[in-house]
Parts: sequence; structure tokens; C-alpha cells
Amino acid sequence: MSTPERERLVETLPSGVKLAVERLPSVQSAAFTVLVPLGSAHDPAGRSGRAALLCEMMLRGAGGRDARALTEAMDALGMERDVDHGADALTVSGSLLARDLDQGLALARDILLDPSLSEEELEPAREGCLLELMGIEDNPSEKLFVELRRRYFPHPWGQPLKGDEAGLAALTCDDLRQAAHLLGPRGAVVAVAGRVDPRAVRDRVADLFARWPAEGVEPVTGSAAAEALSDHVPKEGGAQVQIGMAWPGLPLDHPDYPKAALAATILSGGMSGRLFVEVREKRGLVYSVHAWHTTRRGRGDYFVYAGTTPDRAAECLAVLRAELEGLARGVTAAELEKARTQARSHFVMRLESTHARADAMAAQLHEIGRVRTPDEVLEALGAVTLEDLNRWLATRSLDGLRTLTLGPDWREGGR
Amino acid sequence: MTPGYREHRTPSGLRVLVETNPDALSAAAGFFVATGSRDEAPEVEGVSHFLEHMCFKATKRRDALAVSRALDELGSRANAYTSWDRTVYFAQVLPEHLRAVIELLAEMIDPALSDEDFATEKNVILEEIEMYNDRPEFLLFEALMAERFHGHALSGRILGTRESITNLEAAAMRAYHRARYRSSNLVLAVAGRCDAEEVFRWADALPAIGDGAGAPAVSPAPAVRRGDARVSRPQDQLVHAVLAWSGPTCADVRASYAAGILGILLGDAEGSRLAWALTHPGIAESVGAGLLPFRDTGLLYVSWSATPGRVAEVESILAGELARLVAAPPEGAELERARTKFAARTILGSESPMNRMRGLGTEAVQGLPYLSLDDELALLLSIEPGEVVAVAAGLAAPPENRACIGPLEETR
Repeated sequence: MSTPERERLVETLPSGVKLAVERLPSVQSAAFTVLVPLGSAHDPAGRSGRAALLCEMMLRGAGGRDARALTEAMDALGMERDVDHGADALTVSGSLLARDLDQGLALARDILLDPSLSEEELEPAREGCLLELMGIEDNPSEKLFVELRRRYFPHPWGQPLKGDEAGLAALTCDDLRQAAHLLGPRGAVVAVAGRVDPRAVRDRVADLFARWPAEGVEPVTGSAAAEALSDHVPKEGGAQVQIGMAWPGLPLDHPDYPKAALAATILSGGMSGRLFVEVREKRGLVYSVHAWHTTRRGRGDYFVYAGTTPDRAAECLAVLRAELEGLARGVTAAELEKARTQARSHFVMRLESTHARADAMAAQLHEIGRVRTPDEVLEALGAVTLEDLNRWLATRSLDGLRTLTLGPDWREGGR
Repeated sequence: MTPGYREHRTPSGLRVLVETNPDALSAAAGFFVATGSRDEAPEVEGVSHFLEHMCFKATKRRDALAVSRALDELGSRANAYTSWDRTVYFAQVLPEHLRAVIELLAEMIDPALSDEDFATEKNVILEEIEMYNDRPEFLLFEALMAERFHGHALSGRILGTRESITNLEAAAMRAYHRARYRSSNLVLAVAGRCDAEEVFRWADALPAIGDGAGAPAVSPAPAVRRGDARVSRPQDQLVHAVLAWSGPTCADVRASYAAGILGILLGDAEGSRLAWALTHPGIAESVGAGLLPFRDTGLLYVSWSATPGRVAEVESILAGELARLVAAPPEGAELERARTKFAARTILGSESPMNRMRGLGTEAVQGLPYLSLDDELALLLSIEPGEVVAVAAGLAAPPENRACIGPLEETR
């Protein structure tokens, strides 16, 4: 299996910003992702929701334009855009016609480094964030993961990404300006993919992102234990019990990371993955069941989701648990080859998308300080032997496993 | 591998459509069966979707697990969906696996339909029904369809009901499959890195499906019923609502494109009239607008969600904005921005073989002519403001249907 030869430029700009540009010569689009290492883990005590509200406000005026002028400028380019955040990073991303990339990057720069954060936009933005929390309440599978993260990740990493009512209510424009003024080139990343000239993009990005308010956000240091909360969150009126599980995996730059990724594919890749077969196909316990492995700077984690009716929840949990434990007893050669094919195939297919490529390169620069080339990824997947994988799986324990259910009370003796 | 579009019909009557993009890294293939929930008799409500699931179980040559394994061993991204007028089975693969995945999908859509697989999968369908029972926005649209198309199969639930699925028997499904899944009632659409001549040869060699005796019945055009639907869910935080009017059918391609521009101008998540009036000021949680076209009827919709305490305010503002569509019709820079967003999304979307394949197949099943990307953009650019205004004029009248779901007892 070969990947296309693509011109790629990866360098650290004079300001300290890390840049990756990849040229896809046969598309019309270009996509960018600008990332700064400020996330909900940085939300101060009593101000949970600061990152979420900042993201909301950033699109409500920037670079001297009010909300309407900014929106119209982006719409005039037909630019798809998003300002989003996770626990440890905030991203401004966009996709547009390659010929308009310069203008798109300039707008992204204004949004990130020159947001208006005006008083008149604060109340509507706050209301928007509070409404989003209500939407989560009405979406039990989303609510499940808010609650699981609180119980699984050490504090402050498990703080709700979208904040809470009290935090959102307390935030002021000054709070947001303080956060915006923390941003600096340290830890900042720009990734671009599309029909672009890498050197021209480099010059443009170096120019646009030369000046920042500060040196950069201080990383979150220290962590407290995750919140000690119940294993079941009751929620009235739900048709299904939501089941979530989380346990430790590996970060992207760990030498065994390819094994961790392949194990996730064996567990849950496609319709012949172990979970799909055992929980859905053979027993009809669910419509939806899947597992995935996700990485962040310095760590990786596995998650499982399943939704089932209350009278099936006990069996569903038992089967899930048995499958997770069963993985430690090893996988077959056929399973490994299948997972390898799936992982390589899906990786190559994602290379077609400029948006996916920009996001992936930005995430990698943030997590491990460099970009994994396609050849490197495919070789790493190819290098895992059955013996290595099974030896590694045998060392994995589920001691760090956290399980949570949400919805109607399914537990024996409950109610 | 010549870029562009070619068509072919196999000896068994299967239509094959291929759009080649030599620059793609992958290829996507889909079998589009011209049958869906609108073709169901009331006593088999949900059979099309249940059958879709059964096509991933045992075929006449291998068991269910072997089918799943085969799809995964090809490194495919495979799935299926059931709509009102079509059932689609599709997969995206690297080019070297295209032939194998086409042959596998063809085998899958003529499944064994065993009693045992049927019994187990029934539980999965029932779980899926419960999953959607926890999604009010989904239930809202079903309530709208049930009200608007009362008495016609379009009013039925695509997933079926607990009752209809529990009572469904394998024999009824086999009869439905025999009647509806025939080579002459299918389209194979392929897009991406592929060679048309090769695909035509592979398709010619596929076994015919069904006995080809006569064409399946065509479901009649529906009558539209005016009326409201209210579904009370006291456990929810938000009220979701949708309003519906008659709009263009699929066949009216220009009006469909004009409606697409209007949908963005009126109800896009950002920058639309309803976004400025409702979501930007924090009055509503979400807004939307668009066209749901069928071959013989069309539905223009406006949707929104908000807290119960804001419902009256939202309805008042919305009424004002719909009136303003007439008083200050779409034109000038506002119209051009909506057109640009539509065009950009079309171009960005075309870079995915999966998207191109789905468009090819859907257009064919709906009896529409093929449009290349350039054709689509040219058509989009040619839409006159007057055409958009003409579609918008349909929203000036009171809506034919209103549906809402949520904590309705609390609304003010």
C-alpha cells in the first residue's frame, strides 16, 4: 500500500509558533487549523465554562469588525469555520477555496488574537452557552460522557468542557479578556492542507502570527483526584440506559501506541469487531456499541459506549466487561491482519480530506511536537507482530477502568 | 482511467453509473434500491428498514459473521440507510478492493433471511427504536410526517413501531424482498478512483436479483393534510418545533436549488435571518430551514428549539421574519452570500468520493438527470433572485403544519 507523495513543510517560525503545511495538488480547497493550548482544564474555580464562553464570543466580533461584519466577511468567502475547544486546547479552523486561504487565515488571526469581546455580546453569548447545556441535558448519551469525564479524569481535566450554570453565570468580559491575553506563541500551532504553496503559506502565517499578547498559556500543573461520585446518574424519562466506560491507553508518541490503536480496532473496528459481534450481533442487546482510543498531550484513553433498555443493562455490562478482560488473553493472527488492513485503509481515506488532514497535523504538533508522515504511520502499523501485540495485551490491566450508567434505574434492588 | 461520467445497463437490467476522479485515493460504491417506507403497507410498517439490517446478516453463501469479516477485511467503511423512497447499501474502499466490495454488496442485498437471524435482529431494531425515543428532534420530524401525510405511507415511521416490528414475520419480509429487490429496481453508483469499463464488466457478471417479472408497484402521490401535532415530554429542557409548507418536488431542479439558497439565507446556523433574529441574541437554541423534496410532493420547513418560557417570543419573531421575506425579499449581497455558501459547500463536498457517489445514486433513484460538479455550480450560479423570491413566497401563507415536542405544559 503506498501513499501519495505530498510536499510537506514543518518548521518552527521565528515567533515560536509551530507550522505544518501539506500540499494536495488535485483539490480545490484548503483547510487550516490554528491551535492554542488553552482549554476547559484552565477554567478557574467558580468559572467553569470560561473556555466555552470565550469560543462563543470570539465569533462575535474581531479585528475591528462587529459580529455581523465578521460573519459576512466569512460568508462572502463561503468559509466553513469552527471555534472549538477541548480540555487542553482551543482551535480556530476553517475550510474554503484555496484561492481565498490568505483572507481566511487573516480572519482566523483576528478571531484568535484580536477578538472584540464586547459587553453588548456577552449576555446573548452567555445565553447561548446556557442553552447548549440544556441541549446536553436532553441528549442522554452526551450527558453520559460529561459525567464519565468528571469521574475518570483527574481534576481539573475532568471539568465539564461546556462549563456549568454557576460558572457561566459568573463570567465577565474581564475574565474573558484575561484569558485572551494569556495567549502566546509558546505551544501555538498552525496547520494547513490543500492546493497551496507551502512556502507562500509559511511566509503568510509567519507574518500574521508574529505578534501575540503574551508568551503563552502556562500549562496546567498539578492535579487532584477525579471526583468521587456515584456509578449511576439517574435520569427520568429515558428509554435507554446509557453505558460508558473509560480506562487508560497510550499517548501518540509512546513506542507501543500502534499496538494500543490496533487493539481498539480489534475491539470495535467495523461490524466484525469483538464488541459488535458479542453485544449486538449474537445477543441483540444494543443498537449502538463501540469502543475507541483517543489521545491527548501526554496520555491516551480508551472509551466504550453502549445504549440498551433497562432490563438488558446488567447482561450488557457483563458482556462488555468480559470482552475487555478477554482482550488480555490475546488476539488471533486473522484479527491482527484485519485490524491492520482497516487501520491503513481508513488512514489513507482520511488523507483525501483537507479538513481532516489539517486537524490531524495540528493535533500531532500539539501532542508530540511533530507531524507523523503517512509512510511512518503505515510502517508503524505494519511493524506490529502478533507476538508483540499479545505480549503487550497480557500486561494490560483494567485497574483504572471506570464504568458509569445514566438513565432509568436498572440496578437490581434499585428503586 | 478517463475522468468524467459514464452510464451502462447490464443484461439483468441493473443501471450502473460511474463518475471517475483519477485524483481520488479511494472509491465509493453504493446499491440504491428504489424502495423505502413509502412503499410499505401499514401492517408491515418498518419492513424496509428491518430488511436493510437483514442484508448484513447471512447471505445465500455465507453466515452473518463471515459477511462482517469480509467487509472489514477489505478495509471498507461500509454502512446502509433507509429513507422514504430508497434503501442504500454502500462502502468506501481503496481502489484495489473495489471489485470485491461491489460483488460483496451485491451478494448481501439478496440475503438468506433466515428465521434465526430475523429473531435476533428484531431485538436490535427494538433497541434502535428506543434509542430514537431518547432523541426529541428526531421524534419531532416523525410527528410532522405523521400529521402531514396522514393516510399515506409517508406518514409511517421508517423504523416502524414496537408493535409493528414485534408482530412482523419473516415470511412478510421475504415477500417484500421478492417484490421490491430486483435488478431493474436498483442502481449501482460508483465514484472516485475507478475505471468505468472495468466497473461495467464487473456489474455485467453479477447475478441478477429477483425474477425480473414486471416492475414493482409505485406508491401513489400523497395528499397533504393540514394540521398540528403536539407531543408532550415533560422530562425535556427544550421545546423543538417545525413548521411546514408545500414546496418544489425533486423534478423541479431549478426550484430545488432556489430552495437550497433560500434555506441558507433564512435558516443557516450562522449568518441567516433567523440566526440573527433568534439564536444570536440567545432567544432560541437552534434554527433551521430547508426543503425536503420527493418525486411527487415537496415540503419546505422552518425549525427551531428554545426553552418553554421563550416559545411565545420565538413564534412572534419568526412570524415577523417570514413576513419580512415578502416585504424585504432576498436579493443583492445577502443573496450572493447564501449562494456562495451553497457553492463552497458543494465544492468542498465533491472532494469526497462518498459524497459524489451518494449524489449520483440519489439523483438516479429520484429520476433526475446527472449533474457534474461543473453542471451543479453553473446551475447554482444561474439561479435568478426572482426564482428564490418565488419559493420564499410560499412561506408567506400560514404554515400547513406545525409540530412541536417537549415540555409543552410549561410554555408561555
